[in-house]
Amino acid sequence: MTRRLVAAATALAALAIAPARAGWRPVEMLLVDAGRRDPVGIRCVVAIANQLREAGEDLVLSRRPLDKIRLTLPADLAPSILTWTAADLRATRARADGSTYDAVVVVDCRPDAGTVDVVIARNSDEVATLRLRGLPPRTSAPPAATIAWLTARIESASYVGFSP
Amino acid sequence: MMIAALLIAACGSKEKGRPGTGSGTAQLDAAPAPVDAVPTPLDAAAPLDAPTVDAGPIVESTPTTDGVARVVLVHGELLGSEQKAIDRLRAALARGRVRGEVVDAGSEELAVARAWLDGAEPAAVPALPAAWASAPAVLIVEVRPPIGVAPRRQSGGLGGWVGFRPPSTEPVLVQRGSLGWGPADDLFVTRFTDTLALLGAAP
Repeated sequence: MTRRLVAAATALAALAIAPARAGWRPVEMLLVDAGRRDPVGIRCVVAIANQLREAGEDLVLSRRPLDKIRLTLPADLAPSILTWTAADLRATRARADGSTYDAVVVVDCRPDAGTVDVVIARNSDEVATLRLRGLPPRTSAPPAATIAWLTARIESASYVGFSP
Repeated sequence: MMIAALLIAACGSKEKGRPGTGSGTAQLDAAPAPVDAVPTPLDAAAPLDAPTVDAGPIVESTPTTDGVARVVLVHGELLGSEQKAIDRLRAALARGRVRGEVVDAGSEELAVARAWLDGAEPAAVPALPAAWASAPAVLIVEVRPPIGVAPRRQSGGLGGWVGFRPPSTEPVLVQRGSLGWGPADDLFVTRFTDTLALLGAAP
């Protein structure tokens, strides 16, 4: 009896120590730079990408400029990414192997104008959008605190509807 | 992190609802429609007419304490877990590095929230409520209605956010669509304080 109890306790302890990985997979995110592709805008998107990689240990991140995914978008999209819908980005979420990105994050970052627009399409009929205005204009990427604020929201939004 | 996020998303409590903490609040119909928002410069000197909205009975906005940030909640019925999370937020803002007060939306504030969160971006930027004049930052946050059927209802979480730095009539922040945040979020209070800091409310 005692031996059985010890064996059961040992098994439970092993289960508690082992990371629960059954069904685990990382969030797969595509980050799209929809800005003007000027150096300061590129630096902003790179800063967001770096912060996402640092903050998200369960994240696989791909990055593309908008012109590389243009063919996956409807031809008549409005210039402002904030008008884009989940339906508009459905084909962009699809991958060649038949799977889909868990989230497509489109960023139009203009630090020199003090503006950032973000649209996040995830496993939901509803996109999330972020619109920042009136940030102090800069000739470099936004401050680390602003990048951290942005990436926390991008990451949370990407998990909506996510199933491992 | 992933597991924590999933727990947060899954942890809506099954509970009875409570009436709102104050009068005159109303739930926005949270259908995040796209906005037409080609980046525009911030123009603090652009007071325009407020949009015409049907905000129900007129409810006066709670006065602002001078120099203190203002968190304006737009909500209907609140679940117990939501009320507790709001109480935690209220306590944190009363004594924290970022000082602020939490109030229920008055009619004018509700109109501003609707202007920025419902439908397309407003053609005319609404004027700011007079109660905001002495606030360094104002953050409007929508609490979505509970989901499910009693007694197994769960929090609908937080919806849209609009952040202002008065007297500028154009919001610094407009967020539409859910980020999956709700009362079970361990970072519930932090979500507010870091956004108030972004708006310039931190010392």
